[in-house]
Amino acid sequence: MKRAPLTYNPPKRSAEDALAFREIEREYHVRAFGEELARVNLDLTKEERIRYIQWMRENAQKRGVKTERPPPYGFKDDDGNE
Amino acid sequence: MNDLELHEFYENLVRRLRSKGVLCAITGSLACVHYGIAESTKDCDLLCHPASFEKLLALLVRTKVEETPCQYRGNISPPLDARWHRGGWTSHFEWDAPAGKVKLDVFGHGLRESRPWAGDLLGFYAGPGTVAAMKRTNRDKDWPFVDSLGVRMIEAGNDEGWLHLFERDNLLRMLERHDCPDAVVRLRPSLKLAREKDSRLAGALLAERLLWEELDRVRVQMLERFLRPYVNAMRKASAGRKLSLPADHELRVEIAAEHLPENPLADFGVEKYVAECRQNLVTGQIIHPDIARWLPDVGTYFNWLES
Repeated sequence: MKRAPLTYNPPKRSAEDALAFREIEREYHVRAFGEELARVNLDLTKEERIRYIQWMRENAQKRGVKTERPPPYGFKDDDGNE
Repeated sequence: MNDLELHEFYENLVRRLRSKGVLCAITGSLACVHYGIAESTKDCDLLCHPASFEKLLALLVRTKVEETPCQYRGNISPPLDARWHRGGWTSHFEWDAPAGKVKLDVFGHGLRESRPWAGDLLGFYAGPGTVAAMKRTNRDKDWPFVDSLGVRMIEAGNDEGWLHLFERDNLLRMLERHDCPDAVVRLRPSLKLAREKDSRLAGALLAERLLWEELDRVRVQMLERFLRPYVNAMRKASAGRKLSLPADHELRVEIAAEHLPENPLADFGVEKYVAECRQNLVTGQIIHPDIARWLPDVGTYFNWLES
């Protein structure tokens, strides 16, 4: 299992149904996140996904992209400057 | 700490809290990654039952990262106190470690929770319904996570997932293969349009999303306005001093008691707040008045503020 299960119950759906779900899900992930992240989301294990995100963030930081989440409530920084 | 170690650190925090009987769960970005949707934020959002805040604070006081103690983040964080969390305020902590900051945001309530988050847990994590509801923000980037969680919920046999699909094509494709129960359609009128393949569906779904965005925008604006005097008072009182977490906590409670209303949204009136947001969309000509009748009753997502 690549991803954390969302239920403690055994799967009720047929293999064909599950396959159809995967197809719809993949199409949506490609539309919403792009090919590469769709692969990260659907084909990697949690551990691989976390490593990929770290690599992505470090790469972005090297190129000067800010990856920090902004402070809440629209302040410029945590001290409350605006 | 690399990201894997960070995930372990946060899960271990939850493990230690639960061993003391604390009801808590990881939500937000880390939960999305856990459920199979990559999010680049490495900060942890933690849901914790307000009755256990003392235990959580005590654990944070004892927990160090690379010998660095935990502290409140700057002046903006309201205190970790049930009185303010009941009103939707959140508390923000960090470990300013040499290798980088480790951040923890604490929520006593799941924002936009339609029922208590504690009834919807999966392992160390908040259930997907809670995570998806908390992602209905005014940030574009959050919405694909809502849809993705909705699909996975339906796949897992959880019909609440139908409440989280906001993209027309995604929703119609799902309906081709699976029934959406009448009880769920009653909660969300746009699902009726989807069932009937009505051409107004895309507009109705967009209007719904715009309503959630407006609700979030107005909420944040209101909280920000009320937070400003508190932040100013905190700045004066702390005057750049480095206080221990317990001392800082005491100070924040004292200042919040004077400067921070506990529940500004409830004081304003939840019904009035929702009605004004709907009205903003119509008067601002953001949505057509006819489409407004397909908007769901969102009051149920804010009932906890008045309970």
